[in-house]
Amino acid sequence: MNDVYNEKMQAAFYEEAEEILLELETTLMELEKNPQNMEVINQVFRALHTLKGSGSMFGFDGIAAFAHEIESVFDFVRNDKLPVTSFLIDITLAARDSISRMLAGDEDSDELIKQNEEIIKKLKVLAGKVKSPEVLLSESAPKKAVEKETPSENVQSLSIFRIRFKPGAEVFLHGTNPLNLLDELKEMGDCHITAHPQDIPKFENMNPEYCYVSWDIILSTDKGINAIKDIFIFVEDESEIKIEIIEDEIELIDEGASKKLGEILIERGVIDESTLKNFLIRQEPIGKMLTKAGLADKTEIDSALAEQSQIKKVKESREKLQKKSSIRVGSDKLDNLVNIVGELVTVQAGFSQKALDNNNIEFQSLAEELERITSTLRDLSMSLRMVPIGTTFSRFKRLIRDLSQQLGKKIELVTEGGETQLDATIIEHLSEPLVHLIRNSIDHGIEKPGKREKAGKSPTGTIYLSAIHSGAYVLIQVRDDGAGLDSGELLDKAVKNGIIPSGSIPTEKEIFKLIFAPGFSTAKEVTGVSGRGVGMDVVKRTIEELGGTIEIVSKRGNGTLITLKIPLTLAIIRGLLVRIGNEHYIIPLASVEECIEIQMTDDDRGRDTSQFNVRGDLIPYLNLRKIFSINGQTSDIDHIVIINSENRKTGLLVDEVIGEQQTVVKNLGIVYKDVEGISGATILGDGTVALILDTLKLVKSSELIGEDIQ
Amino acid sequence: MSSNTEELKKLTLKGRFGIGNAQTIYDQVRVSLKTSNYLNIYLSEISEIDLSFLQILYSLLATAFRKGKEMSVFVDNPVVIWDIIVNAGFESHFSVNVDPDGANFQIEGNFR
Repeated sequence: MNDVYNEKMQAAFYEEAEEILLELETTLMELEKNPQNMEVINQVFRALHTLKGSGSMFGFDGIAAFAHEIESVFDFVRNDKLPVTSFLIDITLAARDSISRMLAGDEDSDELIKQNEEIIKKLKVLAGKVKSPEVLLSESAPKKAVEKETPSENVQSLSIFRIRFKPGAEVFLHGTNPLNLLDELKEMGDCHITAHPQDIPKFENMNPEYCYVSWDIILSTDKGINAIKDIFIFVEDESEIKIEIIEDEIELIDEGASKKLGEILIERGVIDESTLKNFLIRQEPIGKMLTKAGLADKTEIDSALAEQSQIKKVKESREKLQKKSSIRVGSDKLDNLVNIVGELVTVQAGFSQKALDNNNIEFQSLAEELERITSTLRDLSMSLRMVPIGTTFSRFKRLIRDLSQQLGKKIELVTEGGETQLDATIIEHLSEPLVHLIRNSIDHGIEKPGKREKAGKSPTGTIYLSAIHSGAYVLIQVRDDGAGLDSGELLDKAVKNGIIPSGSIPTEKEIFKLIFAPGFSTAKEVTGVSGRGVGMDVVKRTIEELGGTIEIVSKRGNGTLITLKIPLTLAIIRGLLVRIGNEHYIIPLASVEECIEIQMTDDDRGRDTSQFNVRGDLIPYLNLRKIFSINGQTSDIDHIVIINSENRKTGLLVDEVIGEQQTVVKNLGIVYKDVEGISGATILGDGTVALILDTLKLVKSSELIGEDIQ
Repeated sequence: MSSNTEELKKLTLKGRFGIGNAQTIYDQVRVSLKTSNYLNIYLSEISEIDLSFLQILYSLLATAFRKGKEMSVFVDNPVVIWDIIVNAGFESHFSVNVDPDGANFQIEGNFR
């Protein structure tokens, strides 16, 4: 019992740790761009802290100890005792990779142990460079006030208030201690207090019984403005009190970016818009610049930063709460659910058919209701398997960072549509093709900074990665603003390598597609990154196996755009139902180009394969009746479904094209899984089984590929 | 509250540091300042402290800083003083560090 429990807990740790490592990678790269961003520093620290804590809790002591070493260094960073440098980011990324390998079971590898020792050594060097910390004696050292956690149960109704409180000079003499009022505010929620002591006079001029201090208080609370006013009720006549709502609960629901420091300072009247604009054009932190210029004192900036941080904190708490309302479910359980719902869809279709056949109105009404519920359930269960593609996108930031450094290029990644959802299985399979495409863009697409400048471009190249829904498909685009493809060079190379015959005059689109031919590479030299001609053909095959297509557009000097059109899910596909004899088959609609009727001779029908003329083009076809050895009466009129496989048109000879069908894909099971040309099966409404054709393999197994078809 | 001014350069203040004693503390410090350009103030056995003293402390340290006077303030129990610094939102204006000789804690103002 305990072992089972421990295993489950450890599995949960693996999952959580992987997520944290992924987040850590992204956050570190963000930190590299914004080394001063305290929020990002805190995110890194929290990730390391969680890894350490969870690792230790679940018995991964090695990981916990290693994470502790990195966390210690980031503690210095967090306390402004160590700057964020590229060196620190490099080591931390390396440490992150090490933890990933430790998680994968590589912990005892001598090489990894040695590597980790090196990392720890470097971390210790960094820690040694820490400015002599002004350490207070730990036992009796003054304790910083413990920050109150925002009460999570109330986070949904939190508002953030900015309170300016300047008590009257004689407030002490009237028996009021302003600090008691501040204490009351603290009890209302999460509170950040910044004192403004600027009005305290020179020592010789001061009246020690007068109050000179004013405060900026940022309070996030679920209490209303009147509750705040009540606190100041006895001092309101002699004090300056200004209470403003800076973020109410509605604004907090908006998960957009938090207010910028400049915006807050304008709101507070510290600076005006034109001052902000003048300073923003300089590449320095705005707070630092304004302080330097004497336009805002440090206290004003600290207070505005506290406001910014408070807003972020409340938003994060809200997001955390929202995350807490989800539960982790194993993908196998979801697969089972989708399978069972698939069966339900089949049963329901059979039921509806029977209801129709029996012509019983009551029965038909029940069937309609069942159909509606089943359809909702099917959509819901499919949606459970959908995950945002953004997680995959974020992995490429690291790839681009490392490769561009390696190749001496400057490359920025811009992503869009990360929230677009796709079936988890598809996302899993997409990762590798996308890596290939991005590596190619980095290596062959984006030019080196000098070359780009000569061409009048920014020295930094950009790779755009986007995802967008388009009907039952998702369009994933990889675009770069690099050199683009040279169609002349591609054609020469293809002829030279015998990929296309000499004298061919293909269109530009056809030429571009040559890069997906096996063994084809445009690289003038083979690098560690790409250039061996291996990869792009794999990309195409993988995309086609997923039921998708790939398109390429390029303009010399301007860049290349590659579009992957991927079905939303593999569990339900759009198929074309066809009949051969008494058997039914499904042809994935993604590969179907057109259907034509044709009258064949008996001789033609006797062949496995042959060719026929479609609008002047000779197109080969496969006689599925012969290939699948189906007996029985043939139709008077034959039907050919023209499919596009690996950019070659092929006909599939069938007896009847019944129509489009939403197809719930079922596995064939171990015994039939290797049958050539069949990828799965589905159950039709009448309970009969229809096999789903694997068009790519079907065409290949018929040995048509390689022939000079067109 | 009691005071000890045996040495001109050293002023020890003990006990209550609230509004009730603010004027007395202020006067004692002022007298000491008049007689010396170099002053060490020791705060010990603090039983009460409030914002009025924090203001005196701030003004004292800020004035000394601006005038270039050698002035140090020490405390035997830093927890009490740090608590009020935090509660009053003065964290960025003061720091409390270990005295180099290790016997006390030094309160410093951050005026740069």
